[in-house]
Amino acid sequence: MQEVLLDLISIFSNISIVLASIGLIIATSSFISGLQLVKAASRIEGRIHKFNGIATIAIYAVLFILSIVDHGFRLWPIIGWLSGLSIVLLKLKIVRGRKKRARKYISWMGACLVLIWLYIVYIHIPL
Amino acid sequence: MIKKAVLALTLLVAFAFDAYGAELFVPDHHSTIQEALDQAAPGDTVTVKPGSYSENIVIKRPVTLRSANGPASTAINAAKKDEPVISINDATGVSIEGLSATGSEVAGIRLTRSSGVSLKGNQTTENLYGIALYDSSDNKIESNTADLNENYGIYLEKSHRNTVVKNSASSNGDRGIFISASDSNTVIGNTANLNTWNGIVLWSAKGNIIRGNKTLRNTYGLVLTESSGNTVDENTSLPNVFIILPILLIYLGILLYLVQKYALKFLYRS
Repeated sequence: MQEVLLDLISIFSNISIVLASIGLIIATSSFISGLQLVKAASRIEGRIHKFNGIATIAIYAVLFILSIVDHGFRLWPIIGWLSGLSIVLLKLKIVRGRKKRARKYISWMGACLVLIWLYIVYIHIPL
Repeated sequence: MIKKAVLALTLLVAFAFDAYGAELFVPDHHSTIQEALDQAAPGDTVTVKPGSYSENIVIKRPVTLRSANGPASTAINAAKKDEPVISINDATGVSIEGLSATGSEVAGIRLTRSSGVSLKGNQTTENLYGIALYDSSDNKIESNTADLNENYGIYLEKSHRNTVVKNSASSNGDRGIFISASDSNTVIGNTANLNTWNGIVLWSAKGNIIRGNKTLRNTYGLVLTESSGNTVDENTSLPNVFIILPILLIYLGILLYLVQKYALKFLYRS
């Protein structure tokens, strides 16, 4: 147990993993509030979802920039980051659009974003 | 009586010097490392002072080649890219310590039909292979860094009873440590992370001990093909923290949601 705790503490010596962890925490909160919003419109849930959404996009952008600063312009990582960003933008478009048929996929897209954050945390854990 | 004592003392001193061997310095005594090695007698030590050297070194005698200040300040770059930076051919008892070998399209350090060789604390990066052993047995490869090579970090072919301990073979273009048609080797406490393909591979290998190695974030961590009788234990491909941390963060996310919800409810009510 003590070893695991020490491992957890030592991991946070890196700014990228700290940001990625905060991103996953906020993304989880955003996902739950989003699910509540799908069930029934609520002012509080709407506020939580919007605030968390903006915060996660900002952290995502910072991590994207840090990745380019640390590793330079490499094709596959950039494609990966842009793919994640395209899912965020698509979700925003569906939320703001009026097509009701597309809205039923929003929960799945939210789950996708949480999975993306899980992967971001995984790849940023220092070895 | 005194003459005899002086003679005995002289013989003793001469014997002691012979037993320890002479020390040759590059570039103080010799302009190139190869020149120093050609002049060295068996048992001698060639010490390389900090700097960048462009050579392809061939060692055939039992000598020690070491750097004065470690691999960070003593780099040997391949003068001919189609040859290894350091070749040890048909030799026994060679020792190489604390050197950096880079830029070869063959290998950083290559052993061919050699035994009793010790490679310690060397850095072999940006070669085709970092450290390669062919038909070489009973050698010790310890605490070397064989990262960022085009193919393999450490490669053993038809090489038996070698000890490979505490090396780093990470971020290589293909595999970290590749043991091919080699038996009874001991591979303990190595790190083979972030390799494009496999961390550690045993191919047609028998009776090897693979223990306490870390193989993280490779396509496959540890791969055994057509191999039998190997001892594989206490290796790590996914540490506990990789599972615990995401679960902990998701719990914190749920907690954050509840805090935000009740905080906003309280704000609206008040």
